[in-house]
Amino acid sequence: MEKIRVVLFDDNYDLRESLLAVFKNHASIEVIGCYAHAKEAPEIVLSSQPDVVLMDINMPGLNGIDAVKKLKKTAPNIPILMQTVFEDEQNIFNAITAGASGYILKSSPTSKLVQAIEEVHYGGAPFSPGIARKVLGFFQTQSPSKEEYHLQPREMEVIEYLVKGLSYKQIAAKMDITYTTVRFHMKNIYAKLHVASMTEVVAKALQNKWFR
Amino acid sequence: MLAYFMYKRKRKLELVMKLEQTRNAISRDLHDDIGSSLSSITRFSEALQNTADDQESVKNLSRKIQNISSDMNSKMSDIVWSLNTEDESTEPLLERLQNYCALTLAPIDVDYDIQFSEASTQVKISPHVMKDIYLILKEAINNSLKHSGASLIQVQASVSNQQLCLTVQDNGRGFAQHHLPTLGGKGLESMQQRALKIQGVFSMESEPQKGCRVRFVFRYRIN
Repeated sequence: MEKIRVVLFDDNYDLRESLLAVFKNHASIEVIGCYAHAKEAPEIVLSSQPDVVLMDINMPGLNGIDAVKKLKKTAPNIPILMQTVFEDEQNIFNAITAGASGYILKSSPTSKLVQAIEEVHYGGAPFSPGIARKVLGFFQTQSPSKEEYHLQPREMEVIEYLVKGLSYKQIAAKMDITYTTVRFHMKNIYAKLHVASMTEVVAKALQNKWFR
Repeated sequence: MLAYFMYKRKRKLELVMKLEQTRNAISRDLHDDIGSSLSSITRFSEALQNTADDQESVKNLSRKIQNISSDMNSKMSDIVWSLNTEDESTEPLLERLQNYCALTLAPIDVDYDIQFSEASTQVKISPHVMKDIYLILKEAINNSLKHSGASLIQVQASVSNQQLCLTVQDNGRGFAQHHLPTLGGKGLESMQQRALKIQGVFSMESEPQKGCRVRFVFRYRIN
């Protein structure tokens, strides 16, 4: 099997040396370059064509997140794995939106680091469990909750039956209300969710995981 | 009267917030520095386990681990010092530098001379910046100590045009200027990076047999 060729950007001298040492004669990873700053990252990556870029976040001069933005313009297909000390939500999010494929904490054991490098190389998106939870948390808070739409309990009930595939008639029977009342609820739901069809209501409920 | 109290309160709040920001910046630095170094110890130890039968590599790697951990110890103490420094002048810097030289240079009979001009001790700098300046100077002294064979190291601080200028000069063996890019090494790199971080200008000049001079210029703000 061919080794995965890695280029590393990190301002910490010892960290760079230690990765060179641990990956010397390694079975699947080869470090082909180590750099103290990322100012020339695009040029370096273009000329050395690594399989994976390992990028620190907190560096003087050009920080890792800005470096990712630049790299994604010049070499969009080379995956970047962020490496950092901090489990910091803002940095994680910025790195991901800048185009990083994954994220690993420096405190992770080397076996985990190898795994993460392999994963980004083969198209995956590795996050350490803590980070994964945070990123997920971010996207969950991004999608509006039921409360934000100010839906009434009865309206929620209607939506729940819709998601289950019931017709207006069946819903009327279940809720012990008239067909017209169901239609009345639906009209209000459309307005509150800013949608124009029943399918959209169902889609929104499913997307935002209102019911499990 | 009321306006005066309001002003006082606002001023106090600003001070508290500034202090808080400084503390955050320093603790972030601490975390980043120490976290990265700890990570390198982990990696080196694993490399050590994989080279157990090669005596030379074992020695080499364990020496690295030893150096990193002792480095971390002294860095921690420098950072804690900067956190606890309330005096926003260069006086604590001068004091700590004198202590450091007394402890490391005096016992091995390397002479040292530290001169801070009157004006330079009046300069106000934040603890955050002070820490980086101190670490640059300490690194420069260490470099001279390790590589130059100097018998005298001079440290000077002066001020001109709102710039604080610090130099560390030794009388050691020096090197040809064109060798500078290939010298590399952790010390030189860390001085350059710290300078960059606080937006200072760093330079190193030398000639064979004429010693080496590290110069660092920092533009400070006046409030």
